Amino acid sequence: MRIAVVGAGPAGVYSAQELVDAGLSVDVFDKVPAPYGLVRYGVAPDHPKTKRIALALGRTLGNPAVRFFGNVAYGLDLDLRDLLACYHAVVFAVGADDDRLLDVAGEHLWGVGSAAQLVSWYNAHPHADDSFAHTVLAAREVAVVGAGNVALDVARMLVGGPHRLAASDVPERVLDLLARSRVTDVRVIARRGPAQAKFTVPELTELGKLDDVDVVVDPADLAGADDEADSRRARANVELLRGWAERPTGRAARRVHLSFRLRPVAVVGETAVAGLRLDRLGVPSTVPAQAVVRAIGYRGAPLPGVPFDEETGTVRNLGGRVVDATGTVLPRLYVAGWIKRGPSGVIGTNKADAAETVRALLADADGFPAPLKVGPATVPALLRGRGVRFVTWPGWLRLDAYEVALGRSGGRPRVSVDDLATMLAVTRAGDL
Amino acid sequence: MTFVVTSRCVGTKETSCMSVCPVDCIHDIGEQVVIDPVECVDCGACVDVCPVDAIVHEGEADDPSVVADAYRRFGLEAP
Ligand SMILES: Cc1cc2nc3c(=O)[nH]c(=O)nc-3n(C[C@H](O)[C@H](O)[C@H](O)COP(=O)(O)OP(=O)(O)OC[C@H]3O[C@@H](n4cnc5c(N)ncnc54)[C@H](O)[C@@H]3O)c2cc1C
Ligand code: SF4
Ligand code: SF4
Repeated sequence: MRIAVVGAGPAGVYSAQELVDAGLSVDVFDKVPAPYGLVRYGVAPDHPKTKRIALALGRTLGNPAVRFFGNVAYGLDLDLRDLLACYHAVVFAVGADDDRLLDVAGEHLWGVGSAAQLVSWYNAHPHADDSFAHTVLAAREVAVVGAGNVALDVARMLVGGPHRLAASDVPERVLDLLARSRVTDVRVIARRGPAQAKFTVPELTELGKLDDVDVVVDPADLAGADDEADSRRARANVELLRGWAERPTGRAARRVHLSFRLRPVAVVGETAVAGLRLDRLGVPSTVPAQAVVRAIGYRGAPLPGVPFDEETGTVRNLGGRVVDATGTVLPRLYVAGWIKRGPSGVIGTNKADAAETVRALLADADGFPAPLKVGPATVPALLRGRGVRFVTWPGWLRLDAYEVALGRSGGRPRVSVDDLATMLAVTRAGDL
Repeated sequence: MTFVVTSRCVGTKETSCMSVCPVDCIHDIGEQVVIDPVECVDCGACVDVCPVDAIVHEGEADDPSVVADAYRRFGLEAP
């Protein structure tokens, strides 16, 4: 049996591994030439250890029972009819590419953008646009709205200094711009209290270890937080925050302010951002900011031909089986990862999640249509016929080696290539 | 730095941690599970799912011998 997996992020690759373990053949498609999804394009570049998850994922994609097709977008290069004709079943693991809006006045102002835009920029995503990064790094004060690790990643990247990235894979262009950062104050603005923050303990701890950066916490924000902290993580976070709150304000060149129980009401400014108006239980305040970054969560985008739940921003599903609005199962269609359960959990969470999906698929397999009318050569031929320059696994390995070589010349482990034309040339996409 | 499994796992062992480890570095050694400190990428996924809070960051372990043992099992010295 042959299965298509759309998305080569953690959820797609873990699904592929489960399918291969069950003896099936798998084709994994991704819209970008490089695999690994947010491991490559989300995880902060100053977390090289976490990036190493890519090595484990690569073992699956290099398995002979798996074929990789990079630079192939579902909905653009292939549609549902193609996939259902060529595969017994399809697992969508496309992640959550959209972001949630603040839904406040002034959100359209120049200088308001999403964490995703910055994350794609510093991680060298080939579709990234640098303009928001330029705006943010030209600001002195930046407000980051959110209370999760992505908000902390952004804060750390903005004030941590480029020297922390000396051994990372970020392109020179990114290092240069970070070196010219004018940011002195980042205000991380959380809607709920410190005990409800979704920061993980290691990420919060790391914030306190940046050179020449003070973490500023208002002691008043911590009132009652101990009683509300009902998990080990919440207790540890509150303890860390208290440590900062009780410390006299330092003299560092840059600061990260962590503030809580604030609801953004409006972005203020004439044409460009001047500040963020906030509300705390009816008490208004305004913080100065020349850039506002939304880090309040990612959101799935609808897939053509697949039922979507606008409320949750996920594909409608029951335990990984795609269902329509009435709850009826749509045969042969499955989902895994963020598009299935929403943007929560860590990378490893997607493993158990993919396992659940593949269990459902295998349980249904008896009902899949018997032999497909087409063989394994059909999809590559179809793509070639459509002029799609797809990237194969050996192609990706060439780019991988190229990035390592690029790094070596600059004394770094690797340097990411983000120019689509170069990526396609190095991978020799399209010539087979 | 790594995460270590404390003795609280003994007898409770039900492998939720293994099913979420992104790099498959948690191994079942019989009475409990152990984490390979070289392979572990410090993601903390295992900590959040353990029903008995058996997994701690090595910096937070109450008993340093737990950390030393965790490294020794893989032929390493604790840093
Ligand atoms: C900024 C950020 C930092 C993070 N840092 C960490 C961290 O340090 N540690 C941790 O444990 N977790 C981290 N996470 C969470 C982790 O990245 C996610 O849990 C995980 O990546 C979700 O896996 P996924 O496969 O569902 O989605 P993704 O990783 O997003 O993978 C989806 C893939 O599908 C592809 N795709 C999308 N649409 C199409 C299409 N139409 N056709 C073909 N392909 C398509 C995408 O290109 C992508 O490669 C972070 C998340 C973010 C956003
Ligand atoms: S911290 Fe992450 S990588 Fe390390 S053992 Fe736990 S789940 Fe595995
Ligand atoms: S989840 Fe906890 S109790 Fe279960 S095996 Fe892992 S460490 Fe042991």
